[in-house]
Amino acid sequence: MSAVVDVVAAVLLLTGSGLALIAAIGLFRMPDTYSRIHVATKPATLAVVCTVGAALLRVPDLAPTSKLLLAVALQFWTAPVASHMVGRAAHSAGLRPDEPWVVDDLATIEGDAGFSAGEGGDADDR
Amino acid sequence: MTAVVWVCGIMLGAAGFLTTIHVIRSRNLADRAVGIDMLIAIVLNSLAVSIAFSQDDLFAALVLIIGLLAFLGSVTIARYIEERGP
Repeated sequence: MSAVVDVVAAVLLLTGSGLALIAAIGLFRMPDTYSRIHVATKPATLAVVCTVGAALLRVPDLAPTSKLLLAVALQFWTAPVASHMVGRAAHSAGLRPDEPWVVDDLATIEGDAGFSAGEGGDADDR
Repeated sequence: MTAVVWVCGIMLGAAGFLTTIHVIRSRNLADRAVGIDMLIAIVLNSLAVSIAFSQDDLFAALVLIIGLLAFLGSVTIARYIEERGP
């Protein structure tokens, strides 16, 4: 029983660390800031869930379980919000991706004259 | 388990090294904010690996606190980018 738990914990640890390494490589591979935001959210949620799950399997007591579960829940709540805030701030500060937008809803919400890219979306409802 | 933790440490160390290089070489502030956010995520992963290896709950509260501080830091940098520009 303990050996099975250890094997599962080892697989989870390797998965989480491998995800962190892949995301670090992805920071160099991705072309612009918005793609990098998309990359950087993976180790903040999925890898943390994997490694903290392995820690939960390995720690014998019940006391740290609540702390670790609360850490995972807060990470799930806060990491997407933080990424969204950084992306919205980059858009509002005038940062543009390498390729032009397909849909730019924030420009219509903000209503700024400097942000209007020209065409107002691709509405081809046939 | 020791070999697994060694492999995890090497992978996380390489990830932290690459992310640090990206933070140093990046051209605008939003890229640096993303890189620092990911560095904190790597630190969280390292703490969780350390908990799993030592079977000790010394770092469990640290995971909680560092995750919350990462959120506060990212939101603060985002507000700063909105005011100042990338």
